[in-house]
Formats: sequence, structure tokens, C-alpha cells
Amino acid sequence: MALAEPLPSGEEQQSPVTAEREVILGYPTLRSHIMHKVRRETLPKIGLLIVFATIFLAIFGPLLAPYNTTAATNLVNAAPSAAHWFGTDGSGLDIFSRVIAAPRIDVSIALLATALALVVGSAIGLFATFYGGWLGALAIRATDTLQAFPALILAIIVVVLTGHGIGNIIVVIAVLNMPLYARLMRGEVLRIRDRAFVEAARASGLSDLAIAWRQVLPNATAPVVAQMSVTIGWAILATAGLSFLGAGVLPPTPEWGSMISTGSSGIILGQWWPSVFPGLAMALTVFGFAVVADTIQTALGREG
Amino acid sequence: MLFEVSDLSVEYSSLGEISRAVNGVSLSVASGEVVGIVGESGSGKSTLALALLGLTRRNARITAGSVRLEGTDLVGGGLSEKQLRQFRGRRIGLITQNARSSLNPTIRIGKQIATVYATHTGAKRADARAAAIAALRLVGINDPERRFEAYPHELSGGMAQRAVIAMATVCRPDVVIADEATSRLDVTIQAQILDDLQRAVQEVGSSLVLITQDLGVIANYADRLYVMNAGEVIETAATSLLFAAPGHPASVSLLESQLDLSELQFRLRGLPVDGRELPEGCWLQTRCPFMDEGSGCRTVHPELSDIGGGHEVRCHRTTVVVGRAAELAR
Repeated sequence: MALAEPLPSGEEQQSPVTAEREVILGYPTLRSHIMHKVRRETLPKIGLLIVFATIFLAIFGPLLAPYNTTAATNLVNAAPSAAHWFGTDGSGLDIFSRVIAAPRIDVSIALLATALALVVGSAIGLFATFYGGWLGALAIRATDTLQAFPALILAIIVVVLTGHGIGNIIVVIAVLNMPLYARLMRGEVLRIRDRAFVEAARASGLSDLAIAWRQVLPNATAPVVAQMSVTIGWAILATAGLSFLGAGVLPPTPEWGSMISTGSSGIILGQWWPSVFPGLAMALTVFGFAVVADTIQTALGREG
Repeated sequence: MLFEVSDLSVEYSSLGEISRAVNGVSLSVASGEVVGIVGESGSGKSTLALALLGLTRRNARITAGSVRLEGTDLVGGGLSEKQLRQFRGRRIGLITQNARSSLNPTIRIGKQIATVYATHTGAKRADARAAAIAALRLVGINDPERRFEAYPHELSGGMAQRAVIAMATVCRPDVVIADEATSRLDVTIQAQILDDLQRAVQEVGSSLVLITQDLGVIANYADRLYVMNAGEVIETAATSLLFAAPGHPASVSLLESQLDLSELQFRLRGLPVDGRELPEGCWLQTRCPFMDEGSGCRTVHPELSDIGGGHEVRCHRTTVVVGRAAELAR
């Protein structure tokens, strides 16, 4: 007799209980996670509202402004009134019109800079890590080095050296944020590249490029998306900060930072409105983006 | 021979230490044949499975040997990476263990299968989709058009495993390698999946290499068996022959573990041999109940030798082992 009988084949043992039953595991997608938080909690609602309002103003703000944003009225340094809700500044410009027109500059710069940082930084992180080698190591070290400098000071120096201009500001802010995205992406790639499905893709003959693009990247986007919202807020602050210091967008273009700056000289005379309203608008916007970033991050299971 | 592996060796290196995971493995698979590779966990089976495609994990490399598919050597043949890719997935399909993690969680399963097909055939989107749906149907998935749209987490373990099989067979490869294709599923599903796998493989005309640690699983399907231990083949024979008269202590131990006995008398003691410090003599000397210094177990590494009828065993004590195993069978 044989030492061990082969098991009976499958047909005889088919039981009704084990007939393929689809098991839907509790595995909510990131999007449903975020939507759940937004529905249930107040703060994410406020954050989203602010973000949408800001984007709305970036598109339509200048059209909605009741006064010409760069042409002076006869009233100089007028306090808030029914005609001029936020008052007028030292040149006689209507502050309300300028505050709601400013997102077009501030938010455009922030969005473009963030997009640039995200695309280039992620690409560096993805390919430098996935392909490895000395070139990859060099790219990662270079981005590390960039991170060692205090960002805003570096930005001021570069903008002062290369000249004002929105293009320069965008590039500078983007370059300063690239290392973050490169690092985030690197971490994700290191996490993913030895996963079984990457091995399986390799075994099915997919090229390295196809694996990086189709297998690794789609699994690496979540923390990058969360970071995006943080970067947008930071970029708005940086743009305003540069402009405040006279190294960014110059007056009379409506921009929060430069408005705060021009208004600041009047504060000791009791003329608070030229600085306070753009300051509040900016703070609110950054707060909105920060809340959204936080919502995404907690949905990802990474607190704060 | 369709698929011929000779003297294949793979080493891992970590922290300056070399671990020999696969040691001079030779095996052959004829067209349409089902070949089983059996061994306890840690015997180098998964490393071997990857190496059969000319692949290794990050910290490993193939140090010697050849893997020939219809004469073309995938290992030492000087093929470019691009040429190798035309074998992987296209002419040799690999079914990896743990199906769910072998599928990309962010991509619909149908698309994953279609991508493999399109990569190798250059097929248009609609054709690739049709091929993927056909492959899903072939492995016994009901309503494949609907399953095509499913994400891996929406599938049961058995369904996910079938999807992985579909991915490995969609290009109608010459050889399909199934590495522990069913080890994480319950026994009834295992049998169903293996039947589906066998049917799919027959349908597309592939040979099948079944890699498992479970002899019971393999018995119904494999024509021939290779038993591995410490990364080398220690016994090979036709399945019925090996079941009837196992000649190596490790094989007996595997068979005995299938019998559900209260007392295991042939069990190998302790952990698998450490590939970093393989001893002189037989690599199983410290674990083997048949170890005998007088027979050279401690000094001479045994060679694979034919004990009749294509039954090859790598053991100094084969005659004793065969005798004792026969006792057990009674």
C-alpha cells in the first residue's frame, strides 16, 4: 500500500457553504474616508468652504470688485464705511476691492508653484529611488541639501538676485518645496517596491518604466496629495511674505502681502484697516488650506 | 525537452554574509507535463520559482546554471533585459503565493490582466479587454465582464487567486509556474482552484510546475515530483513511485506529516538548514533520524543517484530509509 493516499480530487468535496461568496471587506477608499469626515465634522466643512471661496475669488474676484483695484478714488485713508466696506488706503484705493481681487495673484502663484513642486519633486523621488544607482542617490542628496537652508530667507535672496516677477516667485517657491515631495515619494517607493504585486508585475514581463508608472505611482499618491494642501498654504504665506518685504509682487498690483506692507506705516496713526483686512483674508485662507490638509492626513491615518 | 533547468544556484547576500538558497538545481519539464516541486518552508522554493524566470529579489543573484526554454537560456544566454521580458508573462507565467497581495490594490483586476496581454501582444484596448475576460472565464470566474471591473479588495481569496491565474495564463505561455498557489486557502477551495488551474493550463496547452509544501495537494495533479531541501533536489521520481517508496528521509518526513499520525517517527528535527553555513557532508546531518557517521553522512556530500526507474535520491542511507518507510506504510 502506498505510504500516503493522494487526497480525493476537488469535485467530490464541493460544499455549498464554500461556493464562492464575494467577501466585501471593510476597505473604504481614501475619498469616502474624507467625505465621511467632511459630512460628520464641522471644521472640515469650514475648511472646504474657505478653500472653495478662495478659488472662486481667484477666478472671479477682480470681476466682482466694486471699484477699480488700481485706480485711486478721491478718498485717501478713509475708514470703513458703507461705500468703502474696508476703507481706502493711503493712495485712495478701495481696500475691499483689492482684498477680493488679490487671490488671483496669491492663489495662482501658490497653485502653480505647488503643482510644479509636486510634479518635479515626485518625479525625482520616484525615479531616483526606483532606479537607484549613484545618479538617484545624488538627486536625493541634492534635494536634502536644499532642505538644509531656511526656506524663506533663501527665497528672498534668490528673488532679489534674479529680479521680481511672478515667474521667478513661482519657480523659487516650487524649488523650495521639491525636496519634500521627493522625500515623501522616496518613502513610498521604498515601501512599495518590494511588495508582492511589483514582483508579480516583473514576472509578467512589464518594463521598469511601466512598473514605476503603473504599479508604484498609483499606490504612492496619498501622502503626496495630503502634502499638497500644506504646500499651497505655505506658498500663499511665502508669496505674501516676499511681497511684504518688497521682494515679491509690487504695488499697485492687488496682493495681500504688499497691501499689509503699505498699510503698516499708518497703523501708529490709528489707520488699522489697510493692513488688518488683507491680513485677515490671508490668515483665513491659509487656515482653510491647513484644515483641508489636516482632514486628508487624518483620513490617511497620519495625525497632524 | 521543453523547459530544462540545469545546475541553477541562487545566493542571497546580506550584511556581508552569503546565504545559499538554491544549490545546483536541475529539473526538466516536458510539453504538457505537470511537475511538482515539494519542500518544507525555507527550502528555497520561492527563490527557485523566481529564478526560473531569470529573476531574483533585490539582494540575491543567480550564481550559476541555466534555464532553457526550447533551447534559449534565460540565465547565462546573454539575453538583454528587454529580450528576457518577452519570456516573462508571455512564454513563462508565474503565479505567486498570496494572490491578494500579488494584485495591485489600486487597479481593477481586469485592467491588470489586460495590461499584461497588451504589453506582450501590442493588442488594442478592446482586444486586450476581450482576452482578459476570456482568461477570467477560463479559470472559472462567473460573470467575468463584471469581475473585470472589480478591485482586488472586492474579491474573495479564491477569486483573487483565480484572477492571478488568469493573469499568468492570458498570454497562453508554454510553462506556468504556480508557487504555493493555494496554500492560503481552505482545503475545499484549494481543490477547486487546482482543478481550475489544471483545466486552464490544459486549455492553453501549457506545462505546469506546481510548487508547494503540501504533498497531499500535489499528488492528484503532478506527473513527476522533485523534493527539495536546503535549496537542492534531494529526490525525484514519478509521483506514484515516490509515494509508494520514498527514498530520502526528508521525503518520508513530508509524507508522514500528511498521514495525521499521533507520533511522527521520521520527523526532521529542528529548523531548516541555514544557507549561510552549510556543513560538510550531508546538509541534513543534524536533523536526520537516519544519520550515520559510518556511512559518511558527516563527511561526504551525497550525490543524486538513480535507484531504479528514474527514481533518483540524494542520500547515503537510501536502502535503510526505503525499508523503514515500507514498515510505516504497513
